[in-house]
Amino acid sequence: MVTKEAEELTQICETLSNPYLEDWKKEGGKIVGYACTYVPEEIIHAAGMLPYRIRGTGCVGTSLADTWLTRIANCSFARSILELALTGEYDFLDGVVFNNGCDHTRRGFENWKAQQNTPSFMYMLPVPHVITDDGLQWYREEVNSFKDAMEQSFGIEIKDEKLKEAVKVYNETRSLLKQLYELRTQKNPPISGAETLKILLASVSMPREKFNQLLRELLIEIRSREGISDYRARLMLVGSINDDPELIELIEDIGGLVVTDSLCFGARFFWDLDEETGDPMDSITARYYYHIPCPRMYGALPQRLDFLMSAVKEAAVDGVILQSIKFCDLHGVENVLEQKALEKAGIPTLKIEREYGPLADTGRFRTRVQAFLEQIGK
Amino acid sequence: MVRTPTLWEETAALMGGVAALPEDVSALEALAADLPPDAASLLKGFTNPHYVKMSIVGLKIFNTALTSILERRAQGKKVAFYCFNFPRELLDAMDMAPVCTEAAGIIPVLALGCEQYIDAPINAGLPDSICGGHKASVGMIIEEAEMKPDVIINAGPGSCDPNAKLHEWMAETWEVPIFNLDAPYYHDERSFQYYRREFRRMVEGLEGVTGQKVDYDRLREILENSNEQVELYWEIQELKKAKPYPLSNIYCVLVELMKYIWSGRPEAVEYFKIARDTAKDLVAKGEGAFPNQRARTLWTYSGVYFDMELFRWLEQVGVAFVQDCFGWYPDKVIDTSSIDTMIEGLADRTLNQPMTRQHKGAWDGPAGWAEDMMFLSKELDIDACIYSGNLACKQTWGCLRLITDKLKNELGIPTLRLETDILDKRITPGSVIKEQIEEFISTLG
Repeated sequence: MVTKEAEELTQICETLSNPYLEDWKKEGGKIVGYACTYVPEEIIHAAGMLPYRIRGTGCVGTSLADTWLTRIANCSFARSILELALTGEYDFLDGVVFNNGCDHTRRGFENWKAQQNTPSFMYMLPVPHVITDDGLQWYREEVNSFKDAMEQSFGIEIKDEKLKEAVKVYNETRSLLKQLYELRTQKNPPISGAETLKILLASVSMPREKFNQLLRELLIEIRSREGISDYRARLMLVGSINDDPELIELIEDIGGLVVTDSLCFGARFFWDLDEETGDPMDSITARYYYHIPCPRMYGALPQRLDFLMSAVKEAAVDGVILQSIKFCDLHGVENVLEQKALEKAGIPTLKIEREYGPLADTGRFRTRVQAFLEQIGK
Repeated sequence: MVRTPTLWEETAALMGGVAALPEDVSALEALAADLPPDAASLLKGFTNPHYVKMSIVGLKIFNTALTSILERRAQGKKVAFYCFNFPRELLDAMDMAPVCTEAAGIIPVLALGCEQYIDAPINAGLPDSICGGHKASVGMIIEEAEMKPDVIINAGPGSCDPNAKLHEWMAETWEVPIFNLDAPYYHDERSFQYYRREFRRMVEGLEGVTGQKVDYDRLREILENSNEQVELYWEIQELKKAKPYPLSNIYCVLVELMKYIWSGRPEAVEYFKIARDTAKDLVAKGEGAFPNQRARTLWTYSGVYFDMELFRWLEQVGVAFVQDCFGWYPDKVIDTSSIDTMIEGLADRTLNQPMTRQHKGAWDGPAGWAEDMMFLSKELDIDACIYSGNLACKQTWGCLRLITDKLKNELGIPTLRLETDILDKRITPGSVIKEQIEEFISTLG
């Protein structure tokens, strides 16, 4: 039986907006969109606003965006986001924050910012590309500037006590999501990869306290489930950004159960916790700077491989799908390195390039996964 | 068993004939006639009659640089790969064999054509959307393991994802140490201070890993040469403003190569002196470097390198290649009075290298792509821009419309958008590029 909580949480991701956001706006609340795991959501939350993770959901084509970000060189995820912005789908946002996460998204932000009808708060929060003490200090200063800019732009004050409260709320989400991921490591996981992604997407698309409440309740129901046993193989999904549950459904429909991941709409987004003692700005900055690093962070491959290998082991995966969106060189190259490490450890891999969302070549993707399952004897 | 020569050895042997050339066009043409098509095309790019002396010095430097690296490597010196946006002077002063990653592939491509090397990384699983400049270099080492580096300096982080990521891949794959220089997003004093600390961290790390210290007396000597280059570069920038345009189109290409492979060496200084003297002489006489000039162009990215004859062809159809973004070096003279001033000067210069300077931050930020292209367009009285859209270059493609609209709306300058790979002639051939340029220039009136 599908519970009310499960239904609510898994439906929220189907559209960009949802009833929670509509209610929030009706009550005069502001929503600030952000596009990367290096934007501290706690700051937005402490400002009394709703942090919303920008995604490409619902994009059915990129004809407008392609006149700004080109389809011969720029990735379809960044183009989809820009298309949604240009067609007014993100008009419910009061502010937008991007990082210099990759060449595609940072340029996507600039093209968005250059348009006439944008939210009044369009902010770039630059993040260093190396993990050093100096880099941490730089990032700390940037996070401070971001906080100052929020305060100035919206005429508010972000107080330490609110930051501390936000830390607690966001840590609770992370702990709950970790519990969810732990359940997936069971022999018969009570939740599929697609459903997990839907829940994750809900976490970044609605008031967080409400999400935590629903997820707490849902976890009780999930624990009581019988568990999925009719799968052919336990798979891990890594690589480029994926906010599309259908991609995972495609894999799961043919028997490959996705039991873990290393994705930025996945484990990399919530795995690490804020310190709850000390200066909240220090704690938040350190958490975001040192969290499981994105391939954009140089010199951090060992940390990424450590996480990858431990997730493979924890979830007892039979194989790893390393996917990258066309033109995503960060993951395209990273996948080669991760594939080498995995194969050295005897873990079968499938490395595949794809397009995002509406541009996806789903038939080819499905066939390649099917071939992979057969290849690993499942 | 007879050892097969490496690609570099082969290139050096092929280019050996250049060293003995007299300074006249017919000798260059005669040599070209004896060479395979790619090498012949390379030489034909250098046949502007006014600039034969400069061209031959430039061509000899190709050869000298290659030979020097091969010799240093044979002597057991550490081979250090660095991105084109890093100053080789430091590595020279550490008595290493400095190899510019991009030039390592570009030079053999120019001389020999080497599609098999460009394809090798793709066969190794890397995405086909990485840069042609890296594909050739990486392919060369995949095919010829003995060319692999001992250490890598990655100056790409912040300004170019594929560049930076490829250097990381090289270090991991060949198990060599790498030093990542993080370019900050802004271009202000805080950023320069951050980058100076990054640079010092890199120097210390490099010394620690290689056991080779910077010889600061040698560095001073090298920097004095490169300072002279800088002064000559600025003098030539002034001469570029003359009409008719007094420089050969090949000058800009060679400026880049001087920076990438031989900066700080007396031969590079000589190259700039000859270019300056020749241009000065033509300006004094009121002459251009080629007749019937129709358009002064700014190439907002780089030139197209797989067909060097293109640069001479442009002259023949009256198009001046006045400036490209990759040849824009707003360098300052480095104070060589102390170790600190030299290291900080090098760090500052690195942050101002092409690509790092323009693409680490916002397209319209200080020292960003727009600011530089607008400045150069006005400063050099440009008639038209050409974007040699290297398909790997996501950060320029991603804001191309913004910049072309700005150039058009604010200065009335149109931009031709080419879709190409600057090193791989199989994407858009030279013949198509020529057709597109001719058609574009004909619309300028």
